[in-house]
Amino acid sequence: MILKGVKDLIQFLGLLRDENVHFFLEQHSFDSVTVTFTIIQFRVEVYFYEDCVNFSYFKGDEGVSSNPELLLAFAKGDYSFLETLGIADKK
Amino acid sequence: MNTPIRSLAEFQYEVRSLKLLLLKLKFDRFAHQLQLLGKYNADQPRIPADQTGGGQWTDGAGAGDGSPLGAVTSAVSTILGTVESAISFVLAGGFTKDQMNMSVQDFTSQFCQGRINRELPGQFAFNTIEEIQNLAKQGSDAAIKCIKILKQDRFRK
Repeated sequence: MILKGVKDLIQFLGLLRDENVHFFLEQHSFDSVTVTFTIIQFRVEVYFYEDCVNFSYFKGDEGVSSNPELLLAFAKGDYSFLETLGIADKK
Repeated sequence: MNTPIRSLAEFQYEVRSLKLLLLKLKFDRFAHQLQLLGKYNADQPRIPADQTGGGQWTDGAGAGDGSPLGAVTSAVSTILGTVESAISFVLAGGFTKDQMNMSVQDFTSQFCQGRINRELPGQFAFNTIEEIQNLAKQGSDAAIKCIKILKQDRFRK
């Protein structure tokens, strides 16, 4: 499958359906549509532009936490706290 | 000189803006016609015929004030305001033409959450958005990443 742009979006969603991969659609910029899908360990964001397609992927280990401080740090974007826990890279 | 339109989405956005502008102009003309009608008042006093300017209207409020026509004019003005608001509506994400000439540093400080600097490629801080878009079109991975982060509304202030 060659993805050249947003015209190939439906075909790509068909592929995800065939593979039983959960996905959802978002729009964060007026010139693109984002397809986010998840498989174990990875969340992938695929950006469909008019004339190109690219993607980012985010790796995780599916671990769960019930630490309210950590949750709050994520919500607040408190990177210094996340850095102390070794979750965020030091910048 | 106008910046060339870069994509189909931008072209469609321009068309939509022009359609709204045309609608506003039609409303403007309609409002103007109503105002002209509103100014006509058969009971408005005129300068007596034996004086200079005889037959001309004297100063005084037109029939538009407080009259049904005035109310219509007022309603049209309200609609005009709504149309103007619609014209100034900016879709989320992406860049306006003015923003294309801003440096990444200026753009991020004005429009983006500070935390994007954690992932924004630092080498482009003093390049304009337009320059980075051109680099992205040439296939620079760092430029593509930079544009992707800057463009998305979820990382905006």
